[in-house]
Amino acid sequence: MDKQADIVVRLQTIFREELDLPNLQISSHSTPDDVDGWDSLATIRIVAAVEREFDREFEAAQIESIRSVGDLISMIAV
Amino acid sequence: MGLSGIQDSTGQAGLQAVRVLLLSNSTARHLKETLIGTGLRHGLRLDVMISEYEDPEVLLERDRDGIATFGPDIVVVAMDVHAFGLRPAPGKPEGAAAIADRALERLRAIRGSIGSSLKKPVVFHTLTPDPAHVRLHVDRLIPGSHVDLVGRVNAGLSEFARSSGDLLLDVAMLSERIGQDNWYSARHWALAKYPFAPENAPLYAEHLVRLVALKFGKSRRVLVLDLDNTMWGGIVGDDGKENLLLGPGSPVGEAHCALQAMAKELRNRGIVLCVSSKNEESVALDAFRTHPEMVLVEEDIAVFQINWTDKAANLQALSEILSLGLDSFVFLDDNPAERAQIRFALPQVAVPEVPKDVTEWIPVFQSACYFEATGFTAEDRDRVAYYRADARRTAQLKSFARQEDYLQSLDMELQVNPFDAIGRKRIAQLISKSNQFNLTTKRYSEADVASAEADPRRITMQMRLSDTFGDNGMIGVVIADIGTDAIDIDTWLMSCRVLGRGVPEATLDLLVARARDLGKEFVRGVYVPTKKNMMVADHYRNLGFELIGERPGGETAWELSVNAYQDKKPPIRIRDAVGARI
Repeated sequence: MDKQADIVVRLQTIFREELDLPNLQISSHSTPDDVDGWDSLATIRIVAAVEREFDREFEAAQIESIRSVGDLISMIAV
Repeated sequence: MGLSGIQDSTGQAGLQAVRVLLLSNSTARHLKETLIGTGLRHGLRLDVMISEYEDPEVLLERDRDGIATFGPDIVVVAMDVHAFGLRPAPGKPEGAAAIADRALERLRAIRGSIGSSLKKPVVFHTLTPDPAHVRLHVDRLIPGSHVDLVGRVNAGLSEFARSSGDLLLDVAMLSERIGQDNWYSARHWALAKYPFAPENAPLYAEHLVRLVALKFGKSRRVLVLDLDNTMWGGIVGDDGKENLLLGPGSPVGEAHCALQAMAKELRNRGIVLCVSSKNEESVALDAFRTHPEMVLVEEDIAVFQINWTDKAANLQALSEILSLGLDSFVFLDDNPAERAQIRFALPQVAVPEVPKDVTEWIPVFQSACYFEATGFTAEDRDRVAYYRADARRTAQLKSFARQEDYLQSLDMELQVNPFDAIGRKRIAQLISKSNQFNLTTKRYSEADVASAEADPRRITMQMRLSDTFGDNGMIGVVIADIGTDAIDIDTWLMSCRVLGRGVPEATLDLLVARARDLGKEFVRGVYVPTKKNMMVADHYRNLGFELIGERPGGETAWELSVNAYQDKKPPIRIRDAVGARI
């Protein structure tokens, strides 16, 4: 599995957990508009879980600018 | 999986349903699932309605109908320091008093609003200083500094709650405990107005739910303490009273004293103290009464249960004697296997998982806040004497029914080796030190052990027991002579730490197997009474031996027929290197 696909799989687990949507499917193109319940506070919860999962810490400005799953992936993959 | 599923499926699981309305001026919805999950651990099925990022007085007015429909059982006014501003007015005492009064006036008004419409218990939060304000050492000297204002509000709020009968969640204490720098996350405040760092949600929920549980009748009232290596360092039956580690002179002795002092403080708060110990009662009580460094005295203890029965049975008896439910018990014991047995048999008992090092016990124990209370009354103070007077009767000890399951869960392995050079020192040490589980109390030197090791007419066994908690080290020693028609047990001793685990049964299986291999008909043993080994007076009888002789002084001789013997097969895996060698 390439690195990006691996990240998407792990993100999907986090999104399902944090949004309480067990069958949710996400891709790098998913945005808050496509995903039920993904509002700005959900982003904070998701980021907290991502930070735990990937052992990273992001800057507030980065978190603020998240507009899609792809944005998250590029933050993680740096 | 979401927690909504758990809520539905646990409706009939004996959980108490409690509806919690939480009013926060900051962001709070992320706390909901943590609160629900924490509630399950405290026997509560919480339904949580959260109002966030809004002044409570506005919400109470605006959503009057919604709140009435929800019908909360308890209201949490989760207001943090940001709700009150508390902008510093340094050097202005009157200004400081006015700012604090405004904050308190607001809290009183919110209380009034809740009281008029809901008539439900309320939990207030104390405040912890906003890290955005200047904080210097000098601030406590300056009226009107931010920390001075926070102190004034907390003092006023405490006084108010004392008279109104409301509960205080001491957030100031929680943040002090973990450090204010860890309590807050400036980044999460900036991003989403989180009142504290998201990783503190479980800690916050634990303490809040504990208060809620308390309000709904779930409180801890009884502390059961072990004696050996808990009340004092060492094993009184083996080491003797004079060799216990207690009091100044050693870090371990001081730690045990500090623990006793903490227990005494709890007693003075109305917590009922009991003792549950596997010991010879007279020996243990003598140490308790007469050791000069004891902090606790006999009158501090409501009930002593000192015997060789398993501790689950003893806790059940304590519960009957005191007429207090086991869900009000906390059990403190150094032995991880005893703790596991209580958790296994009596899951409603709180069992702190204390570290190995006794000097580190107190912070672990204290952090759990087991004995939270809604207040403190004269009745609390006198309660202990009442229980003591009431506890004169004794309860029938009923051995824990699922002992076998528990022993299985320990996944024990007994490693049996003949005496060898590596074990020699420890074998000699056990032989010279073991007083309680010791059938003949014959003392042998290291040289004697070495000669037994080389003697082809003797069977020697050194035993180590490991379990899920790790290696217990060498716990048993047997020396037996190979006679014409029998194996004669010269020495059989065991560490009391592994009592009730099936080790004697496993040992006998091995001895009988050895007798069979050697073509002997009998296994014989004697019991030589001493002041300290009463616990094994019936050892051979209990294992199925027949009494064949008695001597003045109480010495008894016992015999077991090998042919009729059925292996006892306790739930222990045996790794036998003695049998392999024969």
